[in-house]
Amino acid sequence: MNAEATGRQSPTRKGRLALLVGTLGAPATWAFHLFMSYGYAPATCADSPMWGLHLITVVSLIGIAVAATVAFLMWRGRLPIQGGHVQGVAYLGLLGLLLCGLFGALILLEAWPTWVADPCQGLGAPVGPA
Amino acid sequence: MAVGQRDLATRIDAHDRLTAIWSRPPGFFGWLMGVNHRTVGIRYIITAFVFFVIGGIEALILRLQLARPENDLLALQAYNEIFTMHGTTMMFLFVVPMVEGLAMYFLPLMLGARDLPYPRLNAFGYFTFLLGGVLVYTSFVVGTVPDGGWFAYPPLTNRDFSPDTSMDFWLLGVTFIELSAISAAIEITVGVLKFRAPGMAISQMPLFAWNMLAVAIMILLAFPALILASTMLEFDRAFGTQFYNPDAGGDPILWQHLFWFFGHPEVYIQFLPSVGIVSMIVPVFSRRPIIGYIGLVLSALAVAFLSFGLWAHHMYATGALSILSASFIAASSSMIAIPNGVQIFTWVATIWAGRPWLQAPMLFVLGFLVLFVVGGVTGVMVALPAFDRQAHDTFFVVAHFHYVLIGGVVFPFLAGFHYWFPKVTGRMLHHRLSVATFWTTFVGFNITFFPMHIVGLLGMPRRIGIYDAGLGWDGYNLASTIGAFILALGILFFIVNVQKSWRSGVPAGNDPWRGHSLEWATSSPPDQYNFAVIPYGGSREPLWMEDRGIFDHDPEEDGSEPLAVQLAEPYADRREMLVTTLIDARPEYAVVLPGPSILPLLTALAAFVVFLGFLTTYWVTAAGVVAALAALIAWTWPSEPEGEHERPRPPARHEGPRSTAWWGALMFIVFSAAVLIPLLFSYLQIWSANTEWPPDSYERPDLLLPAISSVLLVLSGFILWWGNRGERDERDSRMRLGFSIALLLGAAFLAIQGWELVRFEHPWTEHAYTSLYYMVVGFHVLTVAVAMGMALWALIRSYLGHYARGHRNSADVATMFWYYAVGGWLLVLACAYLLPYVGPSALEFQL
Repeated sequence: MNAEATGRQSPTRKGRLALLVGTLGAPATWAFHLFMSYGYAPATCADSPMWGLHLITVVSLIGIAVAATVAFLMWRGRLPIQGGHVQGVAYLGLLGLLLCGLFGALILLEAWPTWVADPCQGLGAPVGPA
Repeated sequence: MAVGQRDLATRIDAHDRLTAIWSRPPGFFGWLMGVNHRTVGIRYIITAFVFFVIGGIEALILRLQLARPENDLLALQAYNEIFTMHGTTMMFLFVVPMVEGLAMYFLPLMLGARDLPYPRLNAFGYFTFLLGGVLVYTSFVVGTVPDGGWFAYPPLTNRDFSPDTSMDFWLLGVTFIELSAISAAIEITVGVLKFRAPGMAISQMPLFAWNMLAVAIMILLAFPALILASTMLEFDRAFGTQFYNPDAGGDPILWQHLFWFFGHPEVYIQFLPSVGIVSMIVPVFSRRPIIGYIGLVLSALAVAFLSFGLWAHHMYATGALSILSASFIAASSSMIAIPNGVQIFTWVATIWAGRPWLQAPMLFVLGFLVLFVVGGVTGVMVALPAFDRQAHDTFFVVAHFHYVLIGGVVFPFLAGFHYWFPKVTGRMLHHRLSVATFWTTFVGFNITFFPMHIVGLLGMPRRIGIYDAGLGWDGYNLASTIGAFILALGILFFIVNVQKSWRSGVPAGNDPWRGHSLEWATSSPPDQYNFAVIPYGGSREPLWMEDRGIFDHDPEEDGSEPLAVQLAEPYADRREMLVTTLIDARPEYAVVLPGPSILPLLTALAAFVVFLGFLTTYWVTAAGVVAALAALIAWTWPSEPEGEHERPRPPARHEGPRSTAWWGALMFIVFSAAVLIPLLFSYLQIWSANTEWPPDSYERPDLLLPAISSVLLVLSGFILWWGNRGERDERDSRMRLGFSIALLLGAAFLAIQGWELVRFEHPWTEHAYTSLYYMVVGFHVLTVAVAMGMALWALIRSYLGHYARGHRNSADVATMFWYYAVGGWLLVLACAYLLPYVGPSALEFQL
């Protein structure tokens, strides 16, 4: 039975966006958090405020929450992405939800040192074998 | 009612016709023209294995030198050359091409497809791999063998410290080989997304396909960083640019960032296919479905993403990172143990709950589980800055990555070879020789590499060719050397086994292991076309379905024959393949694939000549560019309207995401962006390393002309969109007008930016600032030129009348790439023209 005959629609532009956000939103948000924090951290040793790093974390956690909501709705079949409940969409929703858990935890883990580490303290010269 | 295989006479007739259509021409010339996925796949596998043997022999020579203290078997220069070539061979010429070969060969079979979407690109990729490998090894012939290590850090590898052509061979060869990986990645991604059997929803895909999908996307994102880094280093060496020269504003640390942004994902690019192989084998030899399918998919995706956040853990010892920056990387590096742990527990649970059948593939899987856990645990150790700074550049790290790369990659490869050998050859491998292979390699491996942990913790640095007696290292090194020869003996057993069994092994039948995936549903070896009727894939273990035959398809709603069955009857004597929807794999239409051609070889040869020019004279490069352009034009010349030979029912629609060409173009854009972003990062990195930006002797760039050219380019994007909408509505004149105006605006952009480059008075050899300016702006001007070429192509096809309803790939693809070129330019504008107005970053720690 070909795609035309089943009555299912191809995902609309909004549907494709929902699929992307729900499935890949969490890793994308984590990538944002890591690269922004990594890029901004040296500046905190100069004259940029530390709360900039915390802001990046808060924005990232909001991103994870959005991705998790979309993923949950996909999983439960509440987003009419292809004109009804589609097994593959629900599966991607569940996958997205699990990814939100993993990458949300990682964002919190990465945020922890921003509260305790001195941004001007270097690792120093290597102490390995001569 | 199900529609199954046709009657015998029809099937025999169809078999003869399909075989004729899918075969390559006879003779040597025909051999060169072969594009079939199995032809290309087996070439990859055999060539990569030859390189594996060469790299292994190099390893044995290294171990002989280190067998005892103060040994003089090798001169130290020769030692440097051989360890460089060993690493280079194993990383670039063995593992990744082997992964590509296995995917080329088995993915279409597992997906229920007849081939991959771009067979000629496949063949081109193989030839670039082969020629790149030949180029790297030609250095032995001319006597300037690369000696800067497989990661080629500058300043050791710049012109001052490597004045001969040795590192040029390395840089050019490796870059050329990367082109092969990129082409394979595009092929695999689109193949997995669009060429799945009907019913094989994304939740039913074989785990090997899931892992290869992740790997292919990782290649597209990671390899461009190395292509860029090695191009910049080659430019430093060949033309005197200053990207990595700190005396002229450059930064050697930039190489480490770019190299490891490629290098760490590379480890997982090598490992994830092994996860796929093991996940296919474990259920078969545990005689039950895999436990935790979603956990394995989750792990593949998580590892794929996380691997891009670990690059800087190779740089803890550079002193460039603050504790805060390093902690972000340490967190990601430690977190990757979670998905890897999920994988291990999933396999163990499946074996535990099943009825294990200890055949050769399963032995290698069990060996892999043990070795990879050891490699994984030491991986978590070196992820932590405190420990890494002690163990950095010692043999502990050598032990760690060999446990990961031999234990975690070569053992699964051997498992896969034993598992799929019957499918490829129709014969079984000799069981006792296989068992001997396993035990010899397993024991030899551990004797070789386990002592390296200890000798590393005792302080023995890696990459040393000689050491003093009495440091407590002697016995461990001798043990490692003995172990290496035992390991080599195991590989020799394997080679003998393959050689004997291929000729005279016991016939295997179609499915000797009672496998669950679709490759076991066809003959051994498979027919040229793999499947006459495209199989049904609506289960994670389709061959273990009890309620439905593998070739049974539901009829169409109007009672007509389903497309998957129709394909058994060739149409217009063309190579056809079923295209299905992305998520739930519903049949869409039958696409016609190109047949055998000599053009992939000619194009690869022409591109090879371009690279050769850097080693000889630039006239050779110029000749290569002309030849490559000619070959590309011949390859893509629009000889017939789009969709000319496709079945009329159901009507194909090559539009947007339905079309394989659209997906291919999207992957090409991903690749292009993955070059541009590290290039912009390079600009930021060097900017952050300088206290004056631009340096004193330079004025800030004039913004008037770039502003004008930017407006023109953005405007051209809107006009192209307007024109393409016209094509969508079948209004040819509007499309032609829109594309023509956009091309004129693009030409104006090129003229203005070309003038900008010409009037910039400072040569690119003067300072890193000028090198970056030319590189960043020049690269994007080239990108716009490519976009214009594609738009011109689309326009020509319109004038030739090649578009019809549902067939306008060229216009869609050109428009999509043009949008990318416009968006990319805005980033380039911000970086190259606006950042100098911000001034120096003056940061204590670099990015």
